Amino acid sequence: MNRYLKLVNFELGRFMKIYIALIGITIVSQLAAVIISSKSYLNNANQAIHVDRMTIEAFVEQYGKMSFNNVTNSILFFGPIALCVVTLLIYTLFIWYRDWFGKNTFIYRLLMLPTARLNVYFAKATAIFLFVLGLIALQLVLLPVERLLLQKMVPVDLRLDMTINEMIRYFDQIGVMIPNSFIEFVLHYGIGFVAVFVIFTIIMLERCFRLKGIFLGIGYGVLAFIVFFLPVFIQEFILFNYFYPAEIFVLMILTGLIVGTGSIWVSNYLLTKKIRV
Amino acid sequence: MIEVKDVTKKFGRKQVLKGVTFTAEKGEITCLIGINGVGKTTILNAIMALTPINSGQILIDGSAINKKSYEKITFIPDAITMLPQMTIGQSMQFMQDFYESWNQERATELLGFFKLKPEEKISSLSKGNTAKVNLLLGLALDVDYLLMDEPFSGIDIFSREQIANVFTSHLVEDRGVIITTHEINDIEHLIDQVVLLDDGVVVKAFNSEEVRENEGKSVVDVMREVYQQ
Amino acid sequence: MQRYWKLISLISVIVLVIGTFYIQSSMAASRLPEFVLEKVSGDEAEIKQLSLEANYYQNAELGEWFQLNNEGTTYWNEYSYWDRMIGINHNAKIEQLRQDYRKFMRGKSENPYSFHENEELLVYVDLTWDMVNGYQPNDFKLDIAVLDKVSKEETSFQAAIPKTNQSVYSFDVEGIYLKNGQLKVITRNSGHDSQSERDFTNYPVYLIDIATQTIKTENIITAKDAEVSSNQFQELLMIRNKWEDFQQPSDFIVFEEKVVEERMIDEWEITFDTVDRELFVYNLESEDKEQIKLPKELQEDASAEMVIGTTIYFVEKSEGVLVITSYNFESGEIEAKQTIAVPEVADEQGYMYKINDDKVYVVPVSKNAKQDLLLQIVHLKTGDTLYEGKVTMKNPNKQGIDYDLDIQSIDLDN
Repeated sequence: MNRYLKLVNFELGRFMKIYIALIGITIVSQLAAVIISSKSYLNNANQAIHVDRMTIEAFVEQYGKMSFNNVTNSILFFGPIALCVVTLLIYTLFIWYRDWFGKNTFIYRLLMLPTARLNVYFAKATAIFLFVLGLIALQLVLLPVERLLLQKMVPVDLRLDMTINEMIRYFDQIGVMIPNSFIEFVLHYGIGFVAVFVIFTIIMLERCFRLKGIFLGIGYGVLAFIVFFLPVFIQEFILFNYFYPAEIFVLMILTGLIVGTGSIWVSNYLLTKKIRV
Repeated sequence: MIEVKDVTKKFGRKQVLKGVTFTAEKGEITCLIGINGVGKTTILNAIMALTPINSGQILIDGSAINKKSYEKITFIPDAITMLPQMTIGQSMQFMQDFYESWNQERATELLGFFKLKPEEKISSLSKGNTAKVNLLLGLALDVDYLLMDEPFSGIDIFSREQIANVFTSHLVEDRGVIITTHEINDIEHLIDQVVLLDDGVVVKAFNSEEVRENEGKSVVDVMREVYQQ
Repeated sequence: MQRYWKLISLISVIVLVIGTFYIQSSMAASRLPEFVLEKVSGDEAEIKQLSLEANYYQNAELGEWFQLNNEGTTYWNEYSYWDRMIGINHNAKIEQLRQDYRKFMRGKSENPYSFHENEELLVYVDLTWDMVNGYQPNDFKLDIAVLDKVSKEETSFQAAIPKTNQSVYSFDVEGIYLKNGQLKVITRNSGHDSQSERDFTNYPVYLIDIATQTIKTENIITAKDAEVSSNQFQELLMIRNKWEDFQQPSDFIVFEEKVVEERMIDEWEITFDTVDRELFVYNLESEDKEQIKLPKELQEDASAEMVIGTTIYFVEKSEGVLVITSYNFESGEIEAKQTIAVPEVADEQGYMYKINDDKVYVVPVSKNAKQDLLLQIVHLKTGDTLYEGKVTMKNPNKQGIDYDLDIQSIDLDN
């Protein structure tokens, strides 16, 4: 196994405890969301049908059927998703800074490995990427389980069954993370990967030039943003509607690749020539 | 041979190294001496490409440092280079995973020599034992050059003796060693070459044995002469 | 190897789960039902160009947009990523122009009213303006581009529109007229006149001198001066014509001018009644305005819907029937009057229709699982039913479910 993969595995190990905790919280909280929203719907139904003498049809007419939307609207459902997102965002910074700070000086070890320093960089980016995709996979496994639980709890007359695709599409927050087609999936996560490289480059600038690096980093971030959206800016402000939609798309793939490779190139230069422990 | 040629280094406006030049030979122990803050650690960092230099050149066996060099030259900083949550055994495993030049036999030997237990967690080690683990991780690599930053600072007397014993053993035989210290007494008898640093330059570089034989002076005597001028 | 379990297991889970998800979602037949247009009578060729946009509801809150044509149903998420990104339902003629004149069409709007094409020329006109104080549009200019289709020569210029001190709410190009080398641009301008303190709508027609790149004359079509009381206002409407079909613009524009009275029913509701209506025709070639004297039977409820050539189509909607009268303003005769029975829809949502060429397309706006949704195509001159078809669900195994269908629009790709 080459050193890059060993490093990825090592990075996975360093976050594993928190990661497993995130998985645990998500599972428990989302299952609780299913149970609580089903229970509360059923309580309403019982009240209406048995106490207020409503027919099932009238109740459904008035309150609608129980669908997975009732679940996804619960804070217990999307709360853990938000927690995972925030944790991983913070970890994108922490994955580097933890090596510099503290009593240990692990950055010495990482920089003195007999391998290209860029491998350390790629390993950290890959680790972040795998953590994100792992959570997406978790959600995809959890959805059918949650649906099954809902079906066990709510009788068929009172519920609206949805396919996994519908459950995702009607819930905007995961809709972005699990897009409709594989092409979109590749595009979304391609952009995500580029964004991680940009953030890493900003961190590298700060680590190399410290205070001055923060300003350089902000400048780099702004530059990356401008370059990536350049076709759109040109379209909107300079050559009004000059490009056809397909051309904008191709141009943005191009600018995305430029930002991505540019970030890797700058980071590689900084890691080999400018980095300090 | 490690060649440091006319190296300068600034931290912000402060010029720390103002053209440092010296060489360290394989098979010799070279000691960088100077008061704190004189840039000794910076020189070691610069040799390992852990900090950029503003000008000058550093060559290891005639070529600039690259990723393969880390199999040939290693650096033992004054703090441990492993994660606190790792055990000694895991640290050794890590080294074995990443370095072809890792010598497991020697590592086991050093473990016995320092009386360390592989299942111990780094975070639970005493200062002395932490330094020993750090030393172990560096010494168990079959490298040509070994850089050590203040290996004796802040360590109890027994650990000091143990560490000092390393220098006279086969563990450093045939290797080139660069060591920094501001307390020369413990290791004066061990070192071959002395590089005296002050105010960002090398004020004097000499062979300690020659000075002792020819001029009858100890390293400390030479230091006193230099620094009191 | 087992030391790398974290890496191996995480990657395996990711590939397995996400892979399965996307393979399954691309393979699995959509759970959504397939609707088809089932012919009852008439000629299938009539619906070749037709598509219906509709929403499918299985539960009140979850609507699924789809497009239905003679080839079947396509839901929004069944379109390829590429189609969804560049957009579906572009105007077919604009698409054609983009293919044929890719360079000329760059930076031009998609508004079909902004184009005119004949054998020799392709003309594009758009309105641009500057913002004064950041919100007040001012300094209007016509952005004109002319492509000589033979020599491939492109001319483009801006012609400044004469300034007024009215504040403008909107200003749009409504159509382009090109005949005998004369280029005329018909625009719609609405705003507020500070002198009379009234909102206004008028239709300036600009004659463009291509050689000097200026506006030669401005002819503003306005409603006639009428005394209106404080609860009344005047409206000037251009009756929809075929200018979207920019290869065949008409020589005439028909305008409807109305006096509308505002009437308060109670605190919450206001109705608007048309108290006076007149139609006039504007001849683009001669620039003459002529009032249309409508026959008695058309003076009341029938609303002028569409002008094609010299025929005005008047539509009267009442319960269960749609009455369309073709009136020729040149001969002053009613050419035909068709009464189309529209099957009653249980929830009284009504129906929608579209007039195109000499045909009308009628369809109820909604259906549920128990009802039929009947599409009728009737020839407006002869009264023949050219096509009649039902929108039905194709997958019989789904027929048990309860659903609703809302038709959003009738699109004709001509």
